[in-house]
Amino acid sequence: MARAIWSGSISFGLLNVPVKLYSAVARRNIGLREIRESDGARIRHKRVAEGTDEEVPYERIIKAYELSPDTYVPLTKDELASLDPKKTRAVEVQDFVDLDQIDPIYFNSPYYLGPAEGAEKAYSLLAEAMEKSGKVAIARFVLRNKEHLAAIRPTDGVLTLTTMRFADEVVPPDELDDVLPAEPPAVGKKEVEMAEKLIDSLTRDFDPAAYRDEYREELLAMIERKAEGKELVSPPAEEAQPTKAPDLMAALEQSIAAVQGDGRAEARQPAAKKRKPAAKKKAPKKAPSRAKAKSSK
Amino acid sequence: MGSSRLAEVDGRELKLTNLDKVLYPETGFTKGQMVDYYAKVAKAMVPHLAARALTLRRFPEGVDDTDAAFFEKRCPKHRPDWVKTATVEAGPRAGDIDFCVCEDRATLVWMAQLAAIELHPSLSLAKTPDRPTVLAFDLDPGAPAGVLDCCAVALRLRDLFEHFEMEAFVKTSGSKGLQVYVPLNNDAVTYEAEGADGQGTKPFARAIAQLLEKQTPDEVVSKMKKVERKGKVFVDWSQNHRRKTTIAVYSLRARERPTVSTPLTWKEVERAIERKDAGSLAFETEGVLKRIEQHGDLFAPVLELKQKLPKL
Repeated sequence: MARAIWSGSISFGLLNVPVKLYSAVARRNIGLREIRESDGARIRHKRVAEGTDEEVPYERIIKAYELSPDTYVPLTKDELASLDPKKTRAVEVQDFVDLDQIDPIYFNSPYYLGPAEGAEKAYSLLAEAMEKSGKVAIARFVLRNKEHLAAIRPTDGVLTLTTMRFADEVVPPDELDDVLPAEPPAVGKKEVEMAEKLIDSLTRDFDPAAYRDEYREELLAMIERKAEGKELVSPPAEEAQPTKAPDLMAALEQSIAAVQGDGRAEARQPAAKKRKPAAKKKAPKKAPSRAKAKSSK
Repeated sequence: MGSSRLAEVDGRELKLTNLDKVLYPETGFTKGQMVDYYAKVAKAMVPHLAARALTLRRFPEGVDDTDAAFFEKRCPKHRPDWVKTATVEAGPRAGDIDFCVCEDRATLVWMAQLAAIELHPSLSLAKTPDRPTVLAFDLDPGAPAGVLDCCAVALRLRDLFEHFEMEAFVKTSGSKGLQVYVPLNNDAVTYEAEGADGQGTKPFARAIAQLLEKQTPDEVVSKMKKVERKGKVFVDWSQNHRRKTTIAVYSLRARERPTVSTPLTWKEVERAIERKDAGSLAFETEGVLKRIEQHGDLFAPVLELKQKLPKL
């Protein structure tokens, strides 16, 4: 079952719909580890104080703003925490708008909203009403200490939530006026017509499955090829010593066979039974007295 | 914040903060509830932690925010002066580290205050880091195998040790699998000693895991590689190492729900298989406290029973 990453409720006016948030994106990146080329030893990263080898534990590290080179304004964890947005569990709907008015540049990460237990009816009602009106809800909510803007829209009875960038996070094109043309240069009518024809010839219905992450597929294929070809690098650790270990296993196997073979197999049952009452006596009765003795010391 | 207060635990003063912070968003289980659980379970749990180097797994932003979570071996510097520590060598590069040691309820509550949801003690006492007091197997199911498959392997381990007239104990990992502990509590045992008459837990555990795999290669795997684990139970023998840790009995786990590593009786394991009832083996905080009230600490013999590894 998918795991909810957040739960809260959509609220607008008097309506309140408890919901859970699920990621709509499956992580498909391939995790690669760092190892030393010569022997495959794993690489560990350490946080050290600059200019020394001294490791700095997590609780001794704070954040700072670099005012000018080497001049920092330190900000403690408590100070930063005091700025965290108030933790609310509400997805507060601000407005309803038409989807085609939102430039896709504002969209960030997609999620699904599911109904919380018992809220299935209210959820369906909201989804259907939004579908009929053809509108998208613009809402605010707090996820992981950060306030987010989000667009909520229904598709086939399911509400999706897409986090959005705030307007001041999006760079307006005129800030890039040295790269993007401010004044469009004149182009010939024929040239435009030819370009339009080319576009027409390449036009089709959008099929997301038609485009694949080829880099990922090639990397996976390379990993598989190398794994089959036994081009593997193993660290000099643990599972080595292939000679000794099987010996001990063989000895173990023989030992058990011997126990079973020399008629002690029958003796095993009573032996086990004999021990059981002893264990029982030990377990529940002695335990509390022992614990008491420890904690009062 | 209205949710912080000063508390006195067995004569020790502690500042508890952010008690209404939700650590398990799925169920709404808060830090305050965690502090309460650890305070109540302390009597049964502390003996299993006492005198051992502890690794804390802290989740300052709750179980879902694993980016903020971290393992902490070095006992935090800003600790109360009554929190005990032990210096143990933690590896060639890490060198000596002062680990936290939990000897009392107040320390356990303080660790809960640090959002240390999971407590991972060493299998040895801090003063004798090369001598494990117990042999441990971590049975980890690779989907679609589940806890019931682990039950079957655990019973085989129990029977195997019965051949050697040794008693084994079982607990849930609090996550997906089970753990089988064989108490040793004798000075002859080390982690590494090799050979047929050696008393080394690691080679012995590895041999057991390999034997189980040889007997039923479709059900058991003894190698670390994840790809080979699918549909099988991974019998992890490698935790029998001086620098490894295993989740403490009665520790909470950072899962969707506040589940606890809970001692079981062998009868419960058998019954779960008979009834195909995996759910009967998952316990959360309230259930665990009730069990302790009814049965005492089922894991108490693990600390007391003196057993020797057999000579092969």
